[in-house]
Amino acid sequence: MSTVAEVLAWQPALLEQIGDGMVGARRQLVGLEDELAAGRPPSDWEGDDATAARRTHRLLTVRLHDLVAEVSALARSIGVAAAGVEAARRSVTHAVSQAEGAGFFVDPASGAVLDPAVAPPDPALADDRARLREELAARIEEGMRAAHHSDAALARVLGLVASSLLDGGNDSLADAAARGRSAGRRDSLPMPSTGDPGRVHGWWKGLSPGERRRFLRDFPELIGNADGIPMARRDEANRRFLPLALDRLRDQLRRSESMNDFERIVVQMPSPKVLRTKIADLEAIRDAVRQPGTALLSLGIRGKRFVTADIAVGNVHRADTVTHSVHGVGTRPATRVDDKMRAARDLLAQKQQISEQAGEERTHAVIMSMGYEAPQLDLTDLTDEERQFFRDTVAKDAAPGMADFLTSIDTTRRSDPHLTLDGHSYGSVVSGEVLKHDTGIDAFVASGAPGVGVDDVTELKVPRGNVHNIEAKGDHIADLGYFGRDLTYLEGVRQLDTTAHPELGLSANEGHTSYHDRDTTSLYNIAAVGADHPDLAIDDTRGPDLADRGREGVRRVVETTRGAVAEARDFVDDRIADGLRLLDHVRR
Amino acid sequence: MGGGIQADPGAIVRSGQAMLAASDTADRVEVATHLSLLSMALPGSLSATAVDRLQQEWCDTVDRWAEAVRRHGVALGAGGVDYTCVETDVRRALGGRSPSPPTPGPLQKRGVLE
Repeated sequence: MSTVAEVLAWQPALLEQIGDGMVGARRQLVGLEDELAAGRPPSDWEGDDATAARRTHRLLTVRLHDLVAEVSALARSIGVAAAGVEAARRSVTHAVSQAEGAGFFVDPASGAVLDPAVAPPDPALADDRARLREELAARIEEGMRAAHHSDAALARVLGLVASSLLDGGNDSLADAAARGRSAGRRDSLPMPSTGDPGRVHGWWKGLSPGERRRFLRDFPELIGNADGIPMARRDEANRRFLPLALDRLRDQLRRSESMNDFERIVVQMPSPKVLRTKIADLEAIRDAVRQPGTALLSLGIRGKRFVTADIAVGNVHRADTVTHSVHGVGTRPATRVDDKMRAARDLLAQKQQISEQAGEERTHAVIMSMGYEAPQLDLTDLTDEERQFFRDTVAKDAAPGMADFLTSIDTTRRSDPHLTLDGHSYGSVVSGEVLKHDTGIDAFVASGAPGVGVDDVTELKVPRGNVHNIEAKGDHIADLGYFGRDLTYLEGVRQLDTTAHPELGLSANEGHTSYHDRDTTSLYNIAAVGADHPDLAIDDTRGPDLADRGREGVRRVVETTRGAVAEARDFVDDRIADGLRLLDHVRR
Repeated sequence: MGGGIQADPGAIVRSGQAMLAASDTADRVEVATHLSLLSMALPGSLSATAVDRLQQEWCDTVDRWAEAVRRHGVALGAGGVDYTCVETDVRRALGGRSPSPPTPGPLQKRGVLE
């Protein structure tokens, strides 16, 4: 097995040159077809010499066929290996130089990534660094896997030729060359089964350009939703997949309509209602991504009820800042994609305006995330324990996938953007669950949040001082503190304003659904944090309102009561235990 | 000479010339030099090990084929050579890689050829 140092010393350009030389040799040998035909002994020549001459000619012809197949197999496999080795070597080189640039040490033999630096005091930053180290180690490992795959495939063909196992056949020399080319092919390295973004990225970078094109063409659903694939390629794959998905669902609908309930259960066919919903979702997404400047970064059609999608405005691959907006209960593509895309564009425009205000030339992007199946306020979800909006089951299920998606934004770029998670309502609950994972998120804004599933802000993996809460007047859902403690009372959470600021042209937000409205203080604040200008965000100086205070008062009473009950229970338990011990002693 | 020439000698000579031309072309085919660079391109690899074996056993195969074709062409051109000898020479030149003739010829039937 080659070491990292050896792979870095490999010369794909020289390999390509060797491959070109072998292609030239193959061409020269295939060109002997005419001479070989002309050299066949005359057909009217008879006798023993003629028979022997024909046999000799036959021997030479058969051997030439095999030779052509062998040279052709070598030419093909060396050419394929050159492309594969170049990609694998580049992948390893990039990961190693990125690791060294970040102050890590890469073992030249094993490729292990070690961190000689002292861990940062902020646990979120320490986690971020550990995540980067793991990601780079995974990328090096995948690059090495690709390098070994190319090497092993070439060594196999070299062995085949050395063992005379290739048959050039009896047809033309061109046919013999085709047989050789076929033997010189190699299977593409399969995608890592773990789905880890760093590993998938290393795998993708280790593929040759031709292999990448084939994966994208043949498996668009897989590539479009694989975290670790560059965003531009995901967009390309998902746009390719979208019409295929529509065809597939329409076909399923036709079949589902012809079945009864029992048959559908047997073949696990979704109901016509679900299929019609998904088709409507896909059509809405198709229309949304027809708008210029959009990118379809994920497209999932295998969900329980709806289609999921992440649609970006702005260039996620290059933008200096990226905001990922997660929406809440009741959102799904067919009914809400238009207004959520409008909100994403407004947020993008506001971020740009803030950069201009700060005198900076920075680029921005926003991702409108319907990347999970948000609970709906309909009978189906209200009666489904796994999907009820007052449970965190959906949020917990969605979190690992969304965390990988966010991680892949950093993983697939040369430099990390300022990455903000913007969660609204139940989207905040999802965001809170996401932030219990390593994601590379730099800032978090929760708006209209009924809690984020934690009682202590340090449970969220966000750098200190970068968690923000926005609560508008009259938003009773944000007062609930249903999923963990009310953010208004969480220490370390910055409270941002929602009142009007006419001097800035900003109007007030009211109720639960206006946080992303154009020209409002809330949108301005979300944009300020997202544009990496928290200094321009406006603090909420009002303090907790009556509802907040009432809710917090009840929480404290409940906690105190719980504590007193627990203490009383412990006291009783202890006394019973004492009594039992005494009884045992008396018995003895 | 075996059974004698019963065809147009000119046609046989032309066959010989075509085979000589094939031999000349094959002489210009270069594989060994290219493959010898492979170890340099992929140091420490499985392929570098595999190509060493290939170079020992295979790389002069084009040269051997060209040499065999040349002998065959010369023999055809000469028109009077005993083909049983030529065939044996060709088999020797191709080494262990020469395939068996598809059908036994009359000389084999008589036990002249191996």
